[in-house]
Amino acid sequence: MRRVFNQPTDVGAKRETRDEAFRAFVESRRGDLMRTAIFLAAGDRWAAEDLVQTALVSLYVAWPRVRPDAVDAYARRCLLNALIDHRRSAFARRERAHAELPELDGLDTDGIDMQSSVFRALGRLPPRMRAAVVLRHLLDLSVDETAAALRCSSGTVKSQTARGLDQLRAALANDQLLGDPGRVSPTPARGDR
Amino acid sequence: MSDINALLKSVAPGAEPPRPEVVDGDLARGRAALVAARRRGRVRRGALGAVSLVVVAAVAVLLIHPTHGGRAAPGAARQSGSGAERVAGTGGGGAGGAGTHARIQLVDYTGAQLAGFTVDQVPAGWQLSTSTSYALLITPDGSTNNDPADFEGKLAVLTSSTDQHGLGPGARVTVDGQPGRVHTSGGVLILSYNAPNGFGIDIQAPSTLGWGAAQIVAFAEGVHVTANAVHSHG
Repeated sequence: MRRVFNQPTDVGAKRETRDEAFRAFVESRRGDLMRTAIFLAAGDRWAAEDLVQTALVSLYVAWPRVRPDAVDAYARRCLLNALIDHRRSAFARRERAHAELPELDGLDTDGIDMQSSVFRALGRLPPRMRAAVVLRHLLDLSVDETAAALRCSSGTVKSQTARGLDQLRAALANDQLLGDPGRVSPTPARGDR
Repeated sequence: MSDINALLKSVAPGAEPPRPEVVDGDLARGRAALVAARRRGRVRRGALGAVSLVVVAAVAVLLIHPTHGGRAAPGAARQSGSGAERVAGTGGGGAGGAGTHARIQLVDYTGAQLAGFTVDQVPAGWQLSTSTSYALLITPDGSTNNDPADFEGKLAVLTSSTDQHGLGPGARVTVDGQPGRVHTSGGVLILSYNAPNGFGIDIQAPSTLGWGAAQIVAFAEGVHVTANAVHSHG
C-alpha cells in the first residue's frame, strides 16, 4: 500500500506545527481549564495555576499522540492527574488538614461570602470525590465521561458523587446557602445514585 | 439541574483569556519537558542497549566456553545428550583443547565429498582438502597444502590402525551412541571412537580450531566412513 505523508517531515516544521496548534489551544482553552482547576483546588488559585501548568506540560509532550477531537478530554485528564499526583506529593503530605477552619480577623460574618463557602465545602471533600462532583455538576459531564476522566467505573462515579453532594449540602446548609439537607429535596444530577 | 449545579456555576469565576506571556510560559515549559523526556528516553535506550550488549557478550562467552558451565555451541547442538556433555561435566580430562584460539564453529557442508568419507559439517571457513582410503584432511580456505601425508594444522579423520587396540587414554565420550575417548597430545585434540560400521576412527583437531570435546564430538557425529575406506596401518 502506498504510504501517504500528511505531516511535515522536517523536524523544525513538525515542532512549528505542534507549537502553533498548542498555542492556539492554550489561548482558547486555558481560561476554562483554570476555572475547573480553581474548583478542583477548592479555591486555591496558586494551586490551580500549578495544576494547569502541569497539565499543559503533559499535554504538550503528548500532543502528537492526542486526537484533535480529544484534546479537551485529554487536557482534563491531565488536570485530574496533576491534582491526584499533587496530593500524593511529599509537599502535600506535609500539609495538615484541620476539621475546623481558623478564625479570620475582619471576616464579615453577617454576609457570608458565597464563593468562599462553596470552596471551603469543596475543600473538605477528598480529591477524587471533589473531582467527581466538579466534573458532573460544574462541567456537566455524563457519568461515563466522568468515569473515563477519573479512570474508574461508572458505579464509583455515582457513589462518589452522591456522597460528595451529601457532604456539600450539609456544609452549605450550615452556611445557610442551602436549606437544611434534611428538608431540601436532594435532586442529584441524572445518573447519580 | 440540581441546587448544587446552580450554586457551583453561580460562584464560578469567569474564564479569562490568558495573557500572551502566560501562553509563552506554557509553551516554554512544554518544550523543556519534551527535551527532558527525549533525553530520558535516550538514556533509557542507551542503558537498555548496554544491558543487551552485556547479555549478548555473556551468551557468546558461554557458547565459546561451554565447559565453563554454559551450553554447547549451535554447531554442536546435535550432540546434546551425548558423551560430550559428560566430558564437560568432568572437566574434559585434559581435552578442553581451546587454548588461546577463537573457537571456529561448525557449519553445514554442501560441497563435493571426497572418496572414503562424507561429512555433514565442517569448520566455518574450512574446506575438504584431500582424502585417501584411510584419511580425510580438511584445511582452511586458501590453504595450498594438499599433501595427504602432512597433517600439520589440518583437521584429520583417520581410520584407526589395525594394530591399535582399545580407545586409548582420555575422557569418556559417546559418539552416535558409541564409546569414545578425547585427549590432547602436543596441542592437538584427538578423539578416538568406534564407528557403527566397525571402523575405529581417530579425529585430530589442531589447536587453531579452538575446539573442545563438545565440538570434536559434534564434528565426528557428522562423519561417515564409506565402503571405500580401509583400516590404516602404522
